[in-house]
Amino acid sequence: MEIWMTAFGNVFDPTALFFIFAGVMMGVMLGAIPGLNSTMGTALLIPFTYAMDATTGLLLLSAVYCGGTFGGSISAILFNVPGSPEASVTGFDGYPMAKAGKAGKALGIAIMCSTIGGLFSVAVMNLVSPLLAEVALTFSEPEYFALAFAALTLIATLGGNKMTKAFLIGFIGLLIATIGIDPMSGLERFTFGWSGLIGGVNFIVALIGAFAVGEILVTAESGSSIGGEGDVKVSTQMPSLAEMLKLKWNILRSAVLGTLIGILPGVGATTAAFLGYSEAVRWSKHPEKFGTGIPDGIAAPETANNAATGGAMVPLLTLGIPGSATTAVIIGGFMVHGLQPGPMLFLNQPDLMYSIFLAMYMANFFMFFSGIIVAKLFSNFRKLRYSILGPCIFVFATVGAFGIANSMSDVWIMFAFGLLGYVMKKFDYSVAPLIIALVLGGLAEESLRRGMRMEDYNLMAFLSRPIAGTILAIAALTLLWTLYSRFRHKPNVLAGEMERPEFK
Amino acid sequence: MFRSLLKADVIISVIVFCVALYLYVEIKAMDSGDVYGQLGPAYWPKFVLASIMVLSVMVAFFSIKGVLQGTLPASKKITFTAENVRFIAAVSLITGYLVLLPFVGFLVLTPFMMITFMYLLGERSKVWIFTIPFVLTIGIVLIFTKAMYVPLPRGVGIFLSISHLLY
Repeated sequence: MEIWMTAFGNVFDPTALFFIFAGVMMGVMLGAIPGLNSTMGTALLIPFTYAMDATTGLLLLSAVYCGGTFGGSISAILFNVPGSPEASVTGFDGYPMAKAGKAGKALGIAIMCSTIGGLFSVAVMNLVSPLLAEVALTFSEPEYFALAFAALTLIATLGGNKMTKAFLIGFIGLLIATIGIDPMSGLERFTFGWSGLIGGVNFIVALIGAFAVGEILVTAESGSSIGGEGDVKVSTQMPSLAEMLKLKWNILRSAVLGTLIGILPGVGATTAAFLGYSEAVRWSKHPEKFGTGIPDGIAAPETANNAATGGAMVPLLTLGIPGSATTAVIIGGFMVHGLQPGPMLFLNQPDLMYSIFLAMYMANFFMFFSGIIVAKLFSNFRKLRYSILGPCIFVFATVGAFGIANSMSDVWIMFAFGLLGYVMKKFDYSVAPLIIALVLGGLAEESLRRGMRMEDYNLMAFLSRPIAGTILAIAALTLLWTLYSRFRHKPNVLAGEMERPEFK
Repeated sequence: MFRSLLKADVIISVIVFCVALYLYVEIKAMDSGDVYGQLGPAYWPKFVLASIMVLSVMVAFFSIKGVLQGTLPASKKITFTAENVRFIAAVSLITGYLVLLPFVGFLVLTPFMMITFMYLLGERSKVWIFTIPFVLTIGIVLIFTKAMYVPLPRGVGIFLSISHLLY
């Protein structure tokens, strides 16, 4: 109790509260601007925390992390340009909703679900973090492969009526993920002597290209939607209690899933969002409606990715292992103050740990309000004509791609993905499988190869492991069920064939 | 008949298949026996490329089948119209911008690229065309170079001197 009182005093100090609020605002804004994200923001803020005491500095970094995870959804919903990787799934249904004139509602659902997801995960982090971290520590390569495989089966459901096309694009994404130095042998693959590809294709660069530049090129050609939406007023509209109750199981499932995914080291908010969405599709009575702009499609990824923030802090605080890229950066924040996160810190400085718990509660609470403010600011951009907005987005995309490694190679890769995104949009290929495969490709390959070596090249051994076997079995069964139901009810849907009457 | 089968899906499938086949041959050279264990660096790419080839054949097959059965519109084939001119112009503009960026620098080149791009997309308001590009460029330069320490391209020669005035 005494520890809690000390933590309460630390967090509710006016200066600390100011930094938490400022951190959340900064995180939301950074997350909302394509090419910037909470990882970059946290990294850039670390030098500023030198001048602060350790507690205030770490509260600030935690607040930026919470805000940044939500912020990306704003631009994903309004412009179909995810501000951060973890928000890329939110655009699948958020943008169609915005296009249907329900941008305010979509933003309201995103804000509400992000706050709920964040608060849920902080509560879990607070209550059961040591126990959950122990479970996560038992995960090995076969479990990681099973997890990646389960997430990749999402392609089947996302493909809808164009399943073959979706799988083709998914495998192209897996291929792109192999570009660069093979982490196990050190050999270069598909670099063709170009040094810009040695480090592989950065996922964020590909994301910016396929979504932002692809969209700009499509709009540049069509010319149909270049005019602005001057008469459209976008103001955040919070969902009603009845609407939230309809989403309750989806939110609960996504919150649990997001928290658990966040706890697994190296599997962060982006994977949580994808899994949250895939499970929402899997459990829905109307999976075919996903991707058309439905609240469930926003609630699932937004709850899951924000729930992952608290989850990712669990291994960081209890074991000193980062659960995501941003928490890896936060470790740097601990270190500049001479602290090593881990079990010993719980023993030696419990007040600091509990201050971080409390700060994350407050950050999620502030996120609710800062989300509304920043969403309002960004929604005004929708009123601009695309002839103005398009070039502005392109410049931000260019700077964002360049800023990742200060390299023109990344800008060229972004442009190449822009062209790919254009071709895919024009000829009705979904971009989502490409991105999912690109994110999970590395994890799937490495965990398979390492796992096979571990199990003496016996794939069946993966199935004999309780957790990996269960995950693989569930994923395989649902994949088969999806294929079966598609074949049974719509015999010609594999190539995206529609019902015959539509073309009569 | 041939024209109706010349759907974008078929053309894309053929291109994807050929590229995948070429890459398969390339990566096969990495097969190195047991040097890297049974699953070497070529193992996963080969599996992925083989799957791509099978799937591209399937996409083409279902596409042709769809056209023949009348369940897919035959008209959806690759065409070049006047609309494509704006796309080609946009791609050319972006390519030129990226080529020139290291030599001319972000500060000098970006406003001109934006003005051209805005005009290309149909913007005719002189106020917007001549304010947004300069304000945005200077804003980005200040935020990214001063606050975030991103070394945006400065250019060479006289352009480097101009860039040095601001960053």
